[in-house]
Parts: sequence; C-alpha cells; structure tokens
Amino acid sequence: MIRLPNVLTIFRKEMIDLLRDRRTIFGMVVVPILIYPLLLIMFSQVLASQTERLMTRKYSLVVVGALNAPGLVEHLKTDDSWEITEAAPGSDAASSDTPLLEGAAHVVLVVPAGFLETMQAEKSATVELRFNKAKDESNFALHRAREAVEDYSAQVLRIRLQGKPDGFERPVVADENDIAPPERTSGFHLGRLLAMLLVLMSAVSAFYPAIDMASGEKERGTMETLLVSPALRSEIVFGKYLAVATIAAFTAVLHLTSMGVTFSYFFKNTLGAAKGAGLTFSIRPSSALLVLLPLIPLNLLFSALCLGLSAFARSYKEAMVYLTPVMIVANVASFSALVPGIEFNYALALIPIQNCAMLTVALLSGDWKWGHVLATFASSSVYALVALRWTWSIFQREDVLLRGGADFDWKRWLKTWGSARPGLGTALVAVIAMMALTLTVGPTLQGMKAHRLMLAHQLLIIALPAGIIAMLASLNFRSTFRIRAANPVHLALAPVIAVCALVLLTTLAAWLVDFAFFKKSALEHGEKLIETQKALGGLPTILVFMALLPAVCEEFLFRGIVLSGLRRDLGRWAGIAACGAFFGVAHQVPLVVLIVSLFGMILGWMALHSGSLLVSVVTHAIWNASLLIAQAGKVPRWLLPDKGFPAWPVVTVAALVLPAAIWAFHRARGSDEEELAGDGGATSIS
Amino acid sequence: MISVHELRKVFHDRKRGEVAAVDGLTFDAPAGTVFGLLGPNGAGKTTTLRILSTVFRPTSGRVTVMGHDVVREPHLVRKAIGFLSGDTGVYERLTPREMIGYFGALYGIPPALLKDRQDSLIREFEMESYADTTCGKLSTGMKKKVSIARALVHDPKVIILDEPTSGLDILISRVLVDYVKRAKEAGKCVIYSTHVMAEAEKLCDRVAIIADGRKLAEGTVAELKEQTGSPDLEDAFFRLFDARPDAGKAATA
Repeated sequence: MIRLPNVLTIFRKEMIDLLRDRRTIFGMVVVPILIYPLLLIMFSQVLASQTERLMTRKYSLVVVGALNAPGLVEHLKTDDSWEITEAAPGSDAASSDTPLLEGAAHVVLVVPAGFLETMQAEKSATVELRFNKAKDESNFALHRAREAVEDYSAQVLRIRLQGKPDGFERPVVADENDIAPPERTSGFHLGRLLAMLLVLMSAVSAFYPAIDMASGEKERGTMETLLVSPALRSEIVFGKYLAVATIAAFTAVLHLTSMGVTFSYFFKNTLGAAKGAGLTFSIRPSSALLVLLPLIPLNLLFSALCLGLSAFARSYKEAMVYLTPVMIVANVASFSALVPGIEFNYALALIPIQNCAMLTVALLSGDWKWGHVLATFASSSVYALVALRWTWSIFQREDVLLRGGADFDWKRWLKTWGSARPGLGTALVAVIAMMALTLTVGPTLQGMKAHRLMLAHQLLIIALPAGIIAMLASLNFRSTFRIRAANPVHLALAPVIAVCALVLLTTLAAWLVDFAFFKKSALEHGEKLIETQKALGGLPTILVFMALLPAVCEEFLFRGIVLSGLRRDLGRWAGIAACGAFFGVAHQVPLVVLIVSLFGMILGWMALHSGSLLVSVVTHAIWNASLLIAQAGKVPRWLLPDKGFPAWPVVTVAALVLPAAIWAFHRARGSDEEELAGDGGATSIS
Repeated sequence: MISVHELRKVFHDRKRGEVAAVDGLTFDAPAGTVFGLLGPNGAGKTTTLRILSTVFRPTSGRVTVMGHDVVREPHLVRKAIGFLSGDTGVYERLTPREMIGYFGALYGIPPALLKDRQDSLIREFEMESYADTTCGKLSTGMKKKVSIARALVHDPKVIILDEPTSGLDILISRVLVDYVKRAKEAGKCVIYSTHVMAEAEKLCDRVAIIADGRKLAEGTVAELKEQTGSPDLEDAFFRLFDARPDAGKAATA
C-alpha cells in the first residue's frame, strides 16, 4: 500500500532540497551547458593549429640510391617543402634507419639499382619508403612522399600512353551509388556515438542526486527522524526515486541538447567545406525525439540502482565507492554500441543498459520496430523494480540504516564463506551474464571447430559464469546447485518423463509449426543443428557433445543458481515458471522458446521435488539424446512416420504414461523438505 | 500510556559478539506524567527509546504505546508519538517553517490546519526572526528548537525526548523545560532521557535508573532519595550505581 500524497510530499521536499543545493545546479545546468562548447573550442583550436603545422612544415627526405632514378629525384626537388639529402652512393637501405628513429630524417626513399632499365622497358618498378609510424611527423612525411611518388608514376604513365585514347588504362570503372537517405547514413554513424553518450549521461546524471538523498540523509542525521514519521518505507523509497529520476532525466536531456546544438553548430561552420564530400550531419526532428525514448528506461534503471547503492552505503564517501562500478559498467556497456554488426533482437532487449544503447542505434538508423521499444521498456522496468525492491529492503534493515553497519570483516566473510543462499538478484545476474556473453562472446566462437565450439559455448558461456557468481556471492554450492544423492525411484522415472514429455511437446510443436510466425526460424534453427551434428561425426560423439554436455552445463545454471534464487524470492511455483521461461528465452528461436520453456518448467519441478540436480541432468540428457537419435533416423519408421513427428498411438501412450510417471515421481520422497527447513537461517544475497 | 515489559535488545558486535544493549527492562509510564530514564552513556537509554519509536525491533519482550504494539502496529505507534532523537539533524537547505511543514504533511495534517500549527510552533519556540532562513545558517541551539518543533507538529499524545538539552544553553533549555511542564498538564505522556540529574529532579514525576541495560531502581524522586538515604538524586544515583549487582564486571561509564 502506497499513499500517493505522502509520495508527493517526499518528492516535493527532495526537489526543493536538491534545487537549493549549489552542487546540484552546477551539475545539472552549468556543466551540461558549458562543457561541450568549451571542449569543442579547445579541441578544435588545438587540432586545427597542430594539423596546420604538420601539413605545411618542411620534412626531411633521405634518398638512398638517388643516382638510380635521376628523374624521380628531379621531380621531388620541384617541391620546395622537402629537405632532400642524398645518401652516399653505395650505402644500403638500413643505413638511414638511425636518423629515422631519432627523428632527424622523416622519410627515406630507397631506389633499387636497375630502376632506370625497368622504366625504359615500360615495366613496373618498386621503390621503398621507409618511415617511423611511432612519430606523427614521419606519418605526415610518408603521406606527402607517397603522393609525390604517385604523382611521378602518373607522369611516366602519361608518357607511356601517348597516342592511346582517353581511359585506355582503366577499361572498366564502377560507379558506386548510395541509395540510403542522407539522414539514415549519418544517423547510423551518429547513432553509435550518441548511444554511447546517452548511456554515460544517464548514469552520470543519477549519480549525485542519489548519493545526496540516501547516504547524505544518513550522514546529516535526518534519516532516523524520517523513519519515525508515519510515511511508509515504500513511500519514502518511491518519493526519493521520483526525485532522483526527475533530476537525472532533466540533466541528461540538457546534456544531450547542449551536445546536439554544439556539434551541429560545429559541423555547419567548421566543417561546412566538408559537406560537399558527403559528410552531412542531419537527423530529422522526429528521430531526435525518438532518441529520447531509450533515455526513459535508462533513467529509470540507473536512478533505482544508484539510490539503492547509496542507501546501502554509510556515508557520502562510501556511496561514491559503490557507485564507481556502476559507472564502469555503464561505460563498458555503452561501448557495445560501437561494435559493428550487432542486430537488435528480443534477446538483446533483455540485457539491461546494452539494450538501450543498441536501441538508440537502431532508432537513429531508422531500422526498428515498436516491439523492440516495448521489450526494452518492459525489461528495463522490471530491472528497475527489482532494484527498487532491493532499496526498499535496505530501508527495512535497522543495522544498515542506523547503526552505521560494520566495516567489512574479512575474517567473518572467510569463516562464513559458502554459506549464503541465492536470491532473485543473484538469479537475474546469472541469467543476464549468460545472455550478455552469448551475444558478445558467442559470435567470436563461431569460427571454431564443432567440438571446441560446443565445449567453449557450454563451459565458458553457460557453466563458468554461474560458478563465478556463486563464488563471489559466497553461496553454498551444495544447496544452490542441489548436489545431493538422488532417490533411485526419481532416477528411474527421469527417462520415462523425458521421453513422454518429448513426444508430447514435439507433437505440440508439429501442430504449431504450421503457423508462419514459427515456421521459418524453426526450420533455420533445425538446419543449424544438423550442420553441427555433421561436423561432430558419429552418433556417440554427437551424444556426448550435444546431449550430455549441454544437459550438465545448462542444468548447473538454470536448475542450479537460477532456480534456487528465483524460488527463494518468488516462491515455489512462480520460481519454477520464471526459471522455465528464462531457460526457454535463452534458446532465442520463437517456437523452440515455447517448447523449451514448458520442458524447463517440468525440469524445475523435478529438481525442486527431488532436491537433486542429478535427476534434472539425467532427464535433460535423455531428452536431448532421444531428439538426436530421432533426427539421425535411428528410430523405427512406425514410431515417427510423419516428417519426423511421432505417430498418434505413440502420442496417446505418452499422454497416458506422463501423468502416471509424474504422480509416481511426486509420491517418491525427495530431499526438498530439508532444503525448506534450511531456508530461514542463512543470509540472503538478493 | 507506555508499557515496556521484559524488553531485550541484542546487537551483534564483531569484537564482543552478542551484546545485550537492553536486558530485561520493565516500566510503565501513564498519561500526564514525565517519566525520566536516567543512566550513564551506554546504559541502553537511546536503544530503549529507539524501540519505543519503532526504529529498532526488540529482540524479545513486549512494548506498547497507547495500547499499540511497536512490532505489530508500528504505523499507529509512529502516528501517536513525537520523537526527538539525540543526534537528530535538520535539512540544511530547508527553512524551519518548511521543516515543520514537511513533517506536518507526512503526519497527514490538512494544509489549512498545518499553516496555523506552523505559526503557533514558531511563536511558541520564539523562532519568528529566523523562521524563513535556511537551517544551514542557524546556530546549534536554533537547530535544536527546529527539531523540537518538528517533533511536536502533530501535537502527539506521547513525547519521547532523548537527551534534549545536551549542548543547549540555559535559555533554550528553559523554553524546552517549560514546554514539557505544559505538556504534562495537558495530560500527555513524556519520556525523558538524560544524564543531568538536576534536570530530572526538577522535571520528572517518576524516574528509572538504568545501567548496562538493566533497571537499578524506579520510583518518584522522593522515593529514590529515601530508599538510598541520599540528600539529592545525584547522590542516590551514585549509590545505586556502585551497588549494582555486577559492578565489578563491566565498567561502562
């Protein structure tokens, strides 16, 4: 229950309080307005004068073997911006390297013996340009020398071509025409830069108000007073959150506007000449407004995150320390906008921060759908709510709020290491880490051989992050990953349930695949799998790499850390459902997502009830293996007559056996009760 | 009005392990009384008051304020009490009038009434000259007055004051003491923690002397003096303190 009047009272007070703070005004208004023009003026002045100097200055050129090409040397001498030194006849190319390294010479032209003869024979001769890439002067000198050599080469060509018609030397010429509207191309390049800045600005803007409102309130001694008032903790959190988000949004918009105005002014005036060369800076006003869309979820998320960390900290200083990693993460995520070739999709929409960066790129290039916008909004809102819930839980903790907390106690941490239980936050971090790795590291693995690809993908992307997160969060491995002996009855029933579920769910898939929405992607997915199978070789290898390995790694992640975390905070059934959904979404292909989600829920229930990860690993492996064996055509024809889908009698049997098997599974005792009993005592890391 | 029964609050301390800040405290404070909690620093006064005001949850025991349990009905308790904590601060960038207004709004006082309340509190605590100056520019005493006015904005039936006069000059102390007397006459219940004996002697109807989280004695000032055969409360306190059961074990003062 949240009473709006109280939220608004708190919001109003926080706004007044912040707006009277000189630091807020400075960060919110003065910095955004002044920093870009100042930076640009300084940068362009220095750049212009420096470039000017490098372009017009004299460079020293050493010619080795000048006698071999008197014509070329003569040509160089017509340009008085060279200081030409001719090396003593007979000296070799490397002799002038020392002055080149020391900067006494800027570029060395080496003419080989026989140059003249080659020229006279109307063949192609090679001269060598030695330069020092580590020096700016040498680079500029190389550029000038290259032009001079090309110039001379063109002169010789003209002589050789005498009497031939125009265009003799270029029989075919390609004329390239870009049909993209100018605002799209500029939007494409600009979008990447803008997306990066958008993420950074959103993070930076929430920084100060969040620190002031939570850790600042503690430090000033007003927190206790506020907590004793009848305002609920949730009202306090929401009121403060609204204030942080408002200030942050205003600051971020001002940053962007100031940046936009400055850059467009700069491009119009300073680079006006470059316009003819195709460099334009034009975004339609509608696109400019669209860019503000991703700003909303970014703002909601960063405000919640910063407020939570700030509430967790004891003092201003500590809050700064906690917020620094947020800034680093924002930085790294924002750079992902610059990575070429990442297409926006629904899986990407689930990765916080990065989704907003990529959405900005998509919006500015004009290549986007409302579904992408909605998915990004929805996922960001969920993360923001989780962060707010965490903030609220901090406001419930008297030790964090008032006692000043204890300093980090290494001894205690080491002693209690491995005793924590995962919560919703841990589960989300694990899923997000897996998704982010799939999208970033995944594509770079593609070039590998099939065996290595499967190993790397399963171990590096799926199992390892879960293990690392569990170690960092000091989780109890045994209970988190359900490392317990299984009831033999459960193990015996696992294959039955796996095969029946496979039969029923593939029948469902067969019925659904006729919908156009599913068909194309599902077929492509199938083809890709078959390719991997072929590359792996024989059936035993296929079964090890494509049935057993994924079963172990995926269960470790999903029915291990993810299910344990979700179940703790969401409850048994919502936990199973959410875990199944995550498991499905990780498979990306729409039809597969649906089928796998359902199977994931069955696995979740089995893992929870039996209390042993071994049971869900076996079930998962048998499911994978049956599917692969069926695809390899090792199953009698009467079982799978119709395009590889099960026959009706088989489906009927499965439909009868599955409920019976589940009932028997339910009746057999698992070690779940033990886990339930242990829930209360340990500390949560949500 | 206030009833504390077998209250215990245990904190986890890294060096000392489990520490009971309050250990089996029991007392009752009826309406129309000023109840003094007397004790040295670290006796458990502040912890007790924080539990009374719902900031801390008791480890065990039962505490009610006007019949409302502090654990089960904290929102009703918060509405009923005015709490001035020992190290309370003010919002430096708000004015005294805004401070009072902010908390008044959180207590759900209607705007029209709140304005009158702001004016009368500013008059009562003689803050007219700086009512519209931001608190950051005020002196310590002025800030304390703002805090007191803020705590009383909803005219609470129960007033909890944690060492309210510490750091105040006698002029401002007098304003506060006068207010407490008037509140008592108006039938309110005031819980007053202090280590200044003279103040307690003048103001409190009943006094509980506590040390190490336990009650050493309770009664009217006259009763305590008689019980210990002391000429004044200060002397009575020292005798009780030196004679406490585990005097040798923990040196708190």
